[in-house]
Amino acid sequence: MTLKARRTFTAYMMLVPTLILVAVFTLYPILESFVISFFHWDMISPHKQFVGLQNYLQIFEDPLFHRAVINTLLFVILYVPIVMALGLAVALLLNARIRFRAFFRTAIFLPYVTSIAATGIIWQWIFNGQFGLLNDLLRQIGIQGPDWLNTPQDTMICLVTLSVWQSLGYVSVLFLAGLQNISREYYEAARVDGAHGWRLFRHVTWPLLSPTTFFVLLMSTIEAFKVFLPVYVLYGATDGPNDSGLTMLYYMFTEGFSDYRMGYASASAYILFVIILACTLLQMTLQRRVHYES
Amino acid sequence: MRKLLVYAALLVVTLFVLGPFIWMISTSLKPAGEVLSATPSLWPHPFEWSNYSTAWKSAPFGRYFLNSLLISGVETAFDLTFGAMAAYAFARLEFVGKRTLFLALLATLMVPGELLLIPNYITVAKLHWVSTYQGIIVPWLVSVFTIFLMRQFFLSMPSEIFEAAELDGLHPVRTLFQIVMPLTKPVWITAGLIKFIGSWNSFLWVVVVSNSQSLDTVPVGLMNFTSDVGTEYNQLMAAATFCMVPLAIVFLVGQRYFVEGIARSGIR
Amino acid sequence: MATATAVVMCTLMATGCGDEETGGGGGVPMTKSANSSGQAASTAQPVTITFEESMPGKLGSELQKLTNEFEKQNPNVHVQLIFNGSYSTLEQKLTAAIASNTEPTVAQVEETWETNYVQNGLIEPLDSVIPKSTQNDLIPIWRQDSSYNGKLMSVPFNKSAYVLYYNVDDLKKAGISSPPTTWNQLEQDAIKIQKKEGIPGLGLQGNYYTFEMLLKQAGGQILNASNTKAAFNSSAGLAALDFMKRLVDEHAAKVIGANEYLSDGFNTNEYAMDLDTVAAMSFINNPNIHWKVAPLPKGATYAVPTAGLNLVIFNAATPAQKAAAAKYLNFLISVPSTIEWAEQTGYLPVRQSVLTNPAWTSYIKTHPNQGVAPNELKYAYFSPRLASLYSAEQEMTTQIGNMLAGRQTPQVTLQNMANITNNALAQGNSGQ
Repeated sequence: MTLKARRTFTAYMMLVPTLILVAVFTLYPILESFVISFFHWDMISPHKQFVGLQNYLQIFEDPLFHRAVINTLLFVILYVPIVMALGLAVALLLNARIRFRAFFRTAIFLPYVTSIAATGIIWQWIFNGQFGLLNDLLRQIGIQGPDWLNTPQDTMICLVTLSVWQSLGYVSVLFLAGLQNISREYYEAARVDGAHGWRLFRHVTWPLLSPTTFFVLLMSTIEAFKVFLPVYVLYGATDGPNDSGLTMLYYMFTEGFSDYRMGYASASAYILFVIILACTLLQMTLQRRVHYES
Repeated sequence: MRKLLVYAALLVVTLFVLGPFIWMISTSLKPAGEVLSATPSLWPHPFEWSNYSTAWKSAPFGRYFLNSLLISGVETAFDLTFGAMAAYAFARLEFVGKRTLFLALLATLMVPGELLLIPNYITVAKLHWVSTYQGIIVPWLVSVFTIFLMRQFFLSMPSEIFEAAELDGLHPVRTLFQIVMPLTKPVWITAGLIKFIGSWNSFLWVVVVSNSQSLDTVPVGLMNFTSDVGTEYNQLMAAATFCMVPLAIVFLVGQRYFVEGIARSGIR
Repeated sequence: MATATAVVMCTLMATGCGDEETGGGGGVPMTKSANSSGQAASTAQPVTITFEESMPGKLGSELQKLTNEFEKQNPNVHVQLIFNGSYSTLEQKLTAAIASNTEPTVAQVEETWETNYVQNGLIEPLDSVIPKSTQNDLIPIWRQDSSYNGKLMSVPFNKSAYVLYYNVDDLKKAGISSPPTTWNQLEQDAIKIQKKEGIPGLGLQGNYYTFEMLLKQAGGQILNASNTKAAFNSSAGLAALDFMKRLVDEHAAKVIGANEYLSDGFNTNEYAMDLDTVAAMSFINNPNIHWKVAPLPKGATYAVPTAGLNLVIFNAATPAQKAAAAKYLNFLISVPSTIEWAEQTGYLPVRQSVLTNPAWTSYIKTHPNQGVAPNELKYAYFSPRLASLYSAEQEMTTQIGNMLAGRQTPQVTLQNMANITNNALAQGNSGQ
């Protein structure tokens, strides 16, 4: 065996469990649903009817789907930067030498571990126009808040707030792990050179944290494109006032699953897939360029 | 002065985060008639502690906790082991097809999981695993998320470590578990926590595969307070509170491994 | 056409599934003995039947209690209740089970899914196992709801109907002596309450189902006779939308969001009346609210929406399981069981004779609120039993929301709703 062949063999030995499991329980169903996207199928009848590209064409023509794409993009554009900036800031605070650190860390992580079935209701109450906590607080400073959950213009605010609240702890912990991975020596060396505060962050933390930042960016973006549960729990299994909370996954779920149109659901999932893939490839290319420049 | 700013900022964030929980716990202690009110008060009168015992008794929660612990524990252990091995291969080994394979794995994250439900159920049924622990657990033994996360961390480690290990003739698996793991504890903890919580809270798959209360998990128990015409808010909140506690403890223990500016001895 | 296909598929499925090892248990160890006894429906052999249900909390315990009674009477039958959370989870579980040929023996189903199952020949006709006397005793609207082409395919189980809930104190304060019985009274009373007490008289869900109810009360039809086109774009449909809009414009009604339950606002006296299902009674638990229920007010005519689930037997089960399941269904809708179920859960009795049964009449003497709905069932209807309308109904709700917010006229709204429905029906018919 050549060195290259031997290395390839070793690598694949380490990958075998993963590859088998992913192939059976992820890749195979994904490919199967890709095939189904060219059929009419109600999931329960043994007969599938081949319709070629009809499902795709129909989706592209549906104004509701256009709405769903716009809403989803809006959510991604709002949610990703906010949760990343806040998550990083919180991670930096939680990484500092402070009192009650365990308390603060756990507190911020709590929303992520709690059932969204319960927290969704709490947020409905918070956003309630008449009796909600939020409007109560706004009234204290002399503002009459809107009926948040019944005003289409406010839907994104509600969805992003709930999502950021829920994911902040998770994003912070990822950043925290990234910060932990930066060796103390780098900081010591930089301090010797007279760097501290912002410059220390700019020249040591930020570049050394970039693998984590990139990871969080990619994951948050993918998850944001697939946003569904916040809509579902906040708007009581509807897509919000005037379709303002209709996201692509929500579209797939109702048009497909509730109407027993699996082919159609699969097709819309693959359109979503292509959009996410394009976005991810773009991020990867940009990251590589940034990497080479610095 | 700077310290003060840090605390002030933390306090603001904590208030934002904990606000809803205060309401949740307050609701969990209110009598049913007081839960919804035009003038909501945070202080229940009287304190209805029995909500907790009623909620606990409305489903076999004891059994559900044991099942959740077992299922999440097994999934997390396998996910960390297999995930770290795969991550190591992607981060540190050169092999044919590496880039393509990694992209393919990453791409699986971009397909909505809802699509996998029925095909996977058919697979599990063919294996005669319906309503068994292996049916619930095996499809979730590895997650691409863990692989990707660990790969990022292994990539950023100084290559001297790996070169030294290779010179010593160490097999990559031993390098991984004997040398790399002790140096990268935070990422293992992070990946483990996220997997554990994700698995603990997963609901649809368990409900669909399990045909028996003896296999059901905590989130199934939480479904007992909601119907299509109304919700028993106080009991739901009580149950959500006691279901949250074990996870909070797991996190509290896990986070101790995040120590500020860990000094990585033996790196150079 | 659809029926012809259904018949063909019925036969295909029956021969295809009969001899496969796909008994209801789907790999549950405990059912093994049941499966092996499949050939002869011998009653001596122990048999396990599985029952996919969606009855949370107290409802679940009551179902378990009835089931225990049944098992005591039939010691050779074990009924395994499988709880699934919400209706939509139950639906997904059944879809997965059907796709993998691991159907349960018995399941609770909504009519829309039931129609799909009937069309695919997945469930057992019940004409031969539910005695004619029982069938004739079922409340007519539910017998109709459970029948396809004259064949009984399910039995009604946890059924409910809509009534008017009213706050006794609020009505008294506004000088209203008895609850409204017509649209006009409803509107006037709501306005009075609003003027006297500053709260909207009526809580209203601004969704498709409210429209459907008002449409029927205005004397309209939902779909044409062959279920291929919307029939609601009529003067009755316009009257329904106009009425909704007027109530809102006059501040007589508060529109609640889809994320809220009607009973919650009633419970906190956000409004004085609402139109809600009887199943919501147990959630009105504020001791300071004194309330009663009355029949739904009448428009041009009376019309009462119904809701709830039916029970079906899947035909993939073994003969022994089917026999046991039939017994179980007969037990659940027996007169004593249906009385106990109704008393304990607030759902309605499913049998005509219960309404005159002394046990029931003495019960409603002490619980008058539960006696109201059964009397209006002669005006009851059920929504179209078509799954392909689900997302159309959501889109129509959006249209109604736009109208109530003043973004479009009732005329435009009605036309849009008809287009949405016609599109969905066209797709549903070509998609099967």
